[in-house]
Amino acid sequence: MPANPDSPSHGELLSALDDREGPARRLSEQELEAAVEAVVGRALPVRRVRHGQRRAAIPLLLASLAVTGLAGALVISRRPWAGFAVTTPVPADAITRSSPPRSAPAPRVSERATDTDPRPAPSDAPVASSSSAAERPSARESAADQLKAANQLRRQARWAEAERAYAKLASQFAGSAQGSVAALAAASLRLEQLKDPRGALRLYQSALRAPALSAEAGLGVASCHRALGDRAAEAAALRRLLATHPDSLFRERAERRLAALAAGTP
Amino acid sequence: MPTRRPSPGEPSHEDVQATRAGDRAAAARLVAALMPRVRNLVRYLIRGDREVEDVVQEALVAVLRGLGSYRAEGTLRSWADRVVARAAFAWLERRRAQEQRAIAASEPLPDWNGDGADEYLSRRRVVEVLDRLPFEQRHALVLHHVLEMSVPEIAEETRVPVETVRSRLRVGRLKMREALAPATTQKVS
Repeated sequence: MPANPDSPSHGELLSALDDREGPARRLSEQELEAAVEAVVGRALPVRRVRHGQRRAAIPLLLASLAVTGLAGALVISRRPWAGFAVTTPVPADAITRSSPPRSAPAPRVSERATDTDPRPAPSDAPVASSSSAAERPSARESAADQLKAANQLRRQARWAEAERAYAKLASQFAGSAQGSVAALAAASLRLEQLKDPRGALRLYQSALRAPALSAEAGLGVASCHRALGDRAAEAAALRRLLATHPDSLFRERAERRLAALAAGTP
Repeated sequence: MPTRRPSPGEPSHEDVQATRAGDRAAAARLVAALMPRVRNLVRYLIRGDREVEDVVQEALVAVLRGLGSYRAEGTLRSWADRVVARAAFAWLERRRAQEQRAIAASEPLPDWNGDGADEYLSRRRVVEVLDRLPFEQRHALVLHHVLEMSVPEIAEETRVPVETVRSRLRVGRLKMREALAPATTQKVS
C-alpha cells in the first residue's frame, strides 16, 4: 500500500485542485507576499494628487516585480515624503521618462556585489550623474535592455549572474529610478538566494536614498536584520518604515511583524 | 483581533465586498487566500516553472478586475478557477507555436527515484509528465481531474465536440499511465 493514499500513484493520475504544496514550486514567504502586493498594485491603482503640487512622474518597476520576474511596471506619481500614488500600469520593459529623486547621491554598491567593471561600455550612455543621462533615448533603452536581461537571468535561477547584472545597472545608472530599482533587485537576490544578508543590507541602505523606493528598501533593511538575528534593529527598521510611509502597501505586514517581535515570536 | 492574512482557502464575503469597493488591504487578503490554489492551477496548465508567476499575476489581476461579475452562485474559488483557466489559455494561445516546438523538443523524463510518500514531489513529477503532453490532452486532463469539470462542460469551455474531449482524455490518460508506470509498479510490489 503506498504511503500516501492521496498521491497520484495510488490510482489517480491527477488530484483535485487544492491549496496544498505542489505542483507549483515552493516560494518563500517573502516571495509570496511580494507576489500578492504586485497583483494588488496592478489591479487597484491608487490616485492621490495634492492640488497645486507639481507631480513628478517616476516610471519604475517595484523591486518585488523585478525580483520575481513578473511582467508589469507602475508609473508612480510622487508626493514628497507622503507616500506614493500609483497611477497606471505600463509594460515591464517600457521604462520611459524618469526624473531624479530629490536627493540621491550615488548609491554605494558593495564591492562584493559585482566583480565586473562598473564603467559603462563604450556603446552605453555615460554614467548618469543626473537624470539627463537616464532620459536620453539611448541611455533609457540601454537601462531597459539591461534590466530585461537581468530579469531573464533571474527567471533562469542564475542568481549570482542576475545579481551582478542588477548591481552593474545600479552602479551605471546611480541616482536614477532604473538604478534604484536595480539596486533593490540586487539586494533582494543577495538576501533570498545568495544568503548574504550583510551584503544585502548595504544595498538596501543605499537604495533608501531614493525616495521613490524607500518603502521597499526600508522593508528590505528590516528583513536583513531579521536574517542576521538582530531583533532590535529589525524592530527599529520597521518602526522607521511605518513612520515615514504610513500609507504604504507594507503597513500591515510591518505591523504584523512588530507585533510578533513584541510577543517574542521568532 | 481579526486575522490580517487568512490562511489559504475561501475568501470571506466581507473581503469580497470590500475589494469591490477598492479596499486594497481586503484585496491583498483575498489574493493571499487564492494564491496557492491559483499557482497550482497555472502550473497544471502551463509547461515549466519559468512563466508561472507571470501568468499567475495576469490571472489574479483578471480575478480582481472581474470581481463585479461574480454572482455568488458558487464559491469564489470555483468562479476564480474558471477565470484563471481562461487567462492561462489566453496566454498559451499567444505563445502556441513556441510552446508546441518546446513540447516537441522535450527530452525524455529522468528516472523517478521518489517513493510517492512526499506529496509535493509526487505532484512535481506529475506535471513533468504533463509537460510532455500536447496542449489539448493536457488541458482536457486538467479540466476534468483537477477542476472536476464534466465532459460536456469541457466541450463547451474548449469549443470542441464531446467525443473529441473523450478521445483526448483517453489518450492523455494512457500516456500518463505509461510515463508514471515504473513508480506505480514499484509501489504496488
